[in-house]
Amino acid sequence: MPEEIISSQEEVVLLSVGSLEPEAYAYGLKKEINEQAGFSWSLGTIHTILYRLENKGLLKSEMGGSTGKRGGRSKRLYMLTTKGFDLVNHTQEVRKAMWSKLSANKVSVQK
Amino acid sequence: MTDPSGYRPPKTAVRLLQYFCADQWLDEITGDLQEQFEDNTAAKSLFSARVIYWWEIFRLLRPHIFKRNKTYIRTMLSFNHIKISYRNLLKNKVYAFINILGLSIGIASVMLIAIYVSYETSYDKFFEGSERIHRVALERVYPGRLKTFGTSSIMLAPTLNENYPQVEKATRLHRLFFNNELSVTIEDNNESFIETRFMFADSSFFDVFSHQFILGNPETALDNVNGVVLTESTAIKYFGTSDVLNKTINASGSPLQVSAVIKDIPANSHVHFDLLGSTFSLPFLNNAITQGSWVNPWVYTYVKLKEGVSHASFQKELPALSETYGGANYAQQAGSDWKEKGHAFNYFLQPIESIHLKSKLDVEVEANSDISYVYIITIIALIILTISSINFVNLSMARSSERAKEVGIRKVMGSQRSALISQFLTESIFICSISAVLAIGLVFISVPKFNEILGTHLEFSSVIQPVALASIVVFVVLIGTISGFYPALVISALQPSTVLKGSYKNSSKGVWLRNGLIVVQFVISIFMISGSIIVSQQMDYLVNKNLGFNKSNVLVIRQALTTGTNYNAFYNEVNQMSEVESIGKTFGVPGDFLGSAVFRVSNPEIEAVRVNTLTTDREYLETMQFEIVQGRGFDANFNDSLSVLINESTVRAMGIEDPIGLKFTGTNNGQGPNPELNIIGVVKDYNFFSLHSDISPLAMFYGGNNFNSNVLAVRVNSANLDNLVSSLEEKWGRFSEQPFNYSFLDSSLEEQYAADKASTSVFDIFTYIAIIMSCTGLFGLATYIVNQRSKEMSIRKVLGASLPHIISVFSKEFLLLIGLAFVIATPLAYFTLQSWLADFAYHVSPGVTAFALAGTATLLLVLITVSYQAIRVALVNPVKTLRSE
Repeated sequence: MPEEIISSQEEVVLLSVGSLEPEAYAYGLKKEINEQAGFSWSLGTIHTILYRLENKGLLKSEMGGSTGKRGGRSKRLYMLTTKGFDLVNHTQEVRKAMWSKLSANKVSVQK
Repeated sequence: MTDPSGYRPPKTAVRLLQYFCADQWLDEITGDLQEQFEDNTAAKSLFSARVIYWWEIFRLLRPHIFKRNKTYIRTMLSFNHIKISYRNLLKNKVYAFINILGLSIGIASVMLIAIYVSYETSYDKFFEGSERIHRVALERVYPGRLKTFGTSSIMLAPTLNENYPQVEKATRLHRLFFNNELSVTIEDNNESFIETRFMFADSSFFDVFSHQFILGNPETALDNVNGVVLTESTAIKYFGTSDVLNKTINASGSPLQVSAVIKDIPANSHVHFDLLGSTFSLPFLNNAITQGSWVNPWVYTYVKLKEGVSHASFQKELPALSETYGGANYAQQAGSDWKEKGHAFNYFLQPIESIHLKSKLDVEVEANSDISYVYIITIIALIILTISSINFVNLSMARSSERAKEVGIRKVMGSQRSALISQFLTESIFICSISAVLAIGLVFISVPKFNEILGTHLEFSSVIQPVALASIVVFVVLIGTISGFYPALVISALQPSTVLKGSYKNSSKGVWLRNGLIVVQFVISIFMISGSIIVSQQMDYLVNKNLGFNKSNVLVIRQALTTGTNYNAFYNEVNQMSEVESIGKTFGVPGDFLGSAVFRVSNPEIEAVRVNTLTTDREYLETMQFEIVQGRGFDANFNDSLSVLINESTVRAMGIEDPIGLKFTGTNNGQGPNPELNIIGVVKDYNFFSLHSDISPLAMFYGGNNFNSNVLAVRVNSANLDNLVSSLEEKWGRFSEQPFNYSFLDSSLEEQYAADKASTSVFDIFTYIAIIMSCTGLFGLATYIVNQRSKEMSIRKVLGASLPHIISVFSKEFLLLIGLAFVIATPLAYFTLQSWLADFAYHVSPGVTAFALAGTATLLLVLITVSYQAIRVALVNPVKTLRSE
C-alpha cells in the first residue's frame, strides 16, 4: 500500500508521462492529455502538477536537447520514478478490481 | 528565435514572463510556449495564437515559478503586514476609531461629490446628437440698458429652417410666462387640475429632441393644432392609464386631443413639461407670427445643427441674420433710426449641454443650477478629505514612538528600509480600504438626505458600477499612499541602535511639518466657522428684511377668474368674512412675473423709461400696506381710471425730484391708443422680485371699477388659519369648479431662496463635519504630545508647578499656531464671502464679530481638547511616570 495519495489530475499527468516517456515534456503532455482525456489544461496547471509530483518523488526530470521548432529552447523531460510507476500501477489495479466488481454487480442488479 | 512562419509571440507577454519567471524555469517554459504558439498559428489564426499565448502567461502566474527575489518575498510578506496592521488597530482603539472614521467621512464626501458632479454635468446629454443642439438666446440692447433673454423671436426658427442649410432643424418652445398656470379638465370623469408645466412647441420639436414615445408618432404628434402630448405620469394622473391616445382633455375651455404619450422626462434635463401643445393653439403667438414680429422674445428657439457644422462658425451667421430678416420689423417698432438710438438684437448660441450649469439669463425655462455650486461643493469635499488625511499623517507620526521598537527589531532581523516602507504603506492602504468600505455605507445612508436638501436625483447605484468601483480602488491606493508615505519614510529611517536603547525622541525635523499641517487645519476650521456664521446672517437677513410691504398674514388666491360670472359674488362673500381685513385685486403679488413696457413722460427733457407694470386696485395697496412717500395712493374720492403710481426707482430713473402731475404715456408696439396717464403718487420702493436683484422701476395702474383679476390678495387676522382656509375653500367650492389654489405670501416669498437655503445647509453640514474632524485629530495629537512630555511634567510637578501652569505650558504651543492660522484664514474668508454676497443685491457686510467669534470658538475647542489631556497627565502621581527609568 503506497503512502502517497494523489488527486485524479495528478494521476492523469502521471499516466501521460509514463506513456510519452522518454519524450514527456510539458507541452507534449498538454497535447496528450487533450487528445486522450479531452481536458484542455493550461501549461501553468500542468507545470504546477509536475512540480508537485516531482516534490513528492513520483517523477524525476532532466533537461533535454533542443529542437528548431522551439526557438532553440531546451525541454525538461520527465520520467516516472519507481515509486511513481508503482503508485500508478497500484491505482490501476485497484480500479480494475473495483470496476469488475461494479460491472458484475450492475449486470445482476439490472436483471 | 526564428520560426519558419516568421510570426513572433507578443513581445510584452514575453517580457512579462521574463520578469516574473525564475531562471531555472524560463528556458523550458519559453520553449513550450513557443512550440504551442507555432502550432496555434498554423492551426488557427495569428490572432487567436496571440490571445492564447497571453492567457497561458496569466495561467503561469504561480508561486513556484516566481523568482525568489525581494519582490517575491515582499509580496509573500504583505499578508503578514496586513495581519500586523490589524493587530495594531486592535491595540489602540481610539486611534483606530479616529483614523478610520475620519477617513471614511473624507472618502464618503468625495464619493458623494463625484456622483453629484457627474449628475450635474450629465444634463441633456441623453438626447440624440445633444452636442449639436443649441438654444438661440437673445442679447437685447435697449438705449443705455442690456438684457439677455433665454427666449427669442417667434420668427427665428422658421427663418433658420428656410434659409440656413447648416441647420438640420430648428424648433420653437413656449412656456407660460404671462400667467403661470392653466387649468385642465378631464371630461371623462369631470376632474380638474392646475398645470404649471404646460408648454407649447412646433411639430418639429421631436426632430430636435429625441423623447421616447410610448404611443403616437413623433413625426406627426404636434401637426394638429388641437393635439397635445402627455407624459406618462400625466396621462396616469388624468386617466389612470397611459393608454390614452385620442382622448380629449379640456385646457382652459378649449378641447385638446391626446396625440402622443411620451416617457417622463429624465430629471437631468433643463426642460420639463407635463403637457405639450401646439404653438399655433395660442392666439397671441399666432398673431405674432402673422405680424412677423421680431421684437418680442416670446419663444425659446432650439436649433440642431447638421453634423460637422461647428458651433463657432454658425454663431458668425447670426448677427447678419438678425439684421437681414428682422431689420424691417425693428425699424417699424423702434423707428428707422433704431440702431442710432442704441437698440440692438444680438443672437447667440448656447449648447444645451451647458445650459443647466452655465446659463443665467432672464426667462429661463426653469431655474438652473450654477457651476459655482459644483465648484464650492467640490472644494468642500476636498477640504474634508484633506483634513482627514492630515489627521492620518499626524496620528501616524504621533504613534511612531510606539512603533519605533518594532522597527528596530525588524531592522536587526535583516529587514531593509524599502521593506519597512512597504509595510507602512500596506498598513495605510489597509486602513484606507476599511474606510472605503465604511464610506460606501455612509454614501448609501446620505444619498437620500442629500437629494432632499439639494433637490437633486442622485442614485446610490451609480457608486456600485464597475467603473466607479475601479476608481474607488485606485483612489484608495492613492490616498493610502499619499497619507502613508511621509510617516513611512520617517519611521523606517530610525536607527535600530538608538531606538532599542530606548532613547527615541521624535526628530525636530518632523515638527515643522506637523505644525504646518495643524495650521492648515485651523485655517480650514476658522474659515468654515466664520463662513457659516456670515452665511446664516445673510439668510436671516433675506427672510427678515423689510421688503417695503407687510408680508405676514397675506393669503393669495390664484385662478380667481375661473369663478367666471360668480366672481363678484365670491369676492363679496370673502370680503364680508370677519377674519378678512381687506381683499385686493392684482395681476401679481411680489415674487410673480411682471411684464414691462416703455413709457414717455410729458416733460421732453426726461428720457423714456422702461418700467415693470402691474394693474391693481386701491384695496390691494391697503392689503399690502405699501407706503406712499409722495402724492397720494388710489382714492375712492377721485376718479383714478387714468392714474398711475410709480415707485422711487422710477423717479430716480427719470432723474427728477417731483414727478407728481406729470403725464405718462405708453409706447407699446404702436398698437391701439396709448392713453395719457397722470402720475398721482410715488410708492416707497418695495421688493417685487427676490433680493437677488435690485428694485427696478415699477408703475401701478388702476384697474377701474369693473376690474377682475386672476389673483386676489387677502389680509387676514385670524389666529386659526386652518379654519379660515377651509371656510374659504368651502366658499370657493360653491363658485368655481376648479381646485382652490392658495398660498401664504410670506412662505411663498421664502421659497425664492430655496436654492440658496439648500446650498447653505449643505455648507453648514460640511462645516460641522470639518470642525468635528479637526477636533478629533487634535485630540489624538494632544494625547500624543502630552504623553511624550509626561516625564517633564512630572518633574515640573515635583518641583512645585501648579495645575494651571502645566496646562498653560501645553497650550502655549497651540496658541501660536492658532494665531498664525487666524491671520491666514481671516482675509481668505473675507474675500471669499464678499464674492458670494455680491450675488445678492441686498446683503449684510461680513463683520468683525463673525471672525472674532470663529477665532474664539476655535481657540476654545483647542483649549478644551488640550487641557483635558493636560489635566489627565497632571493629575497622575509623578512616581508612576518617573519610576520606570
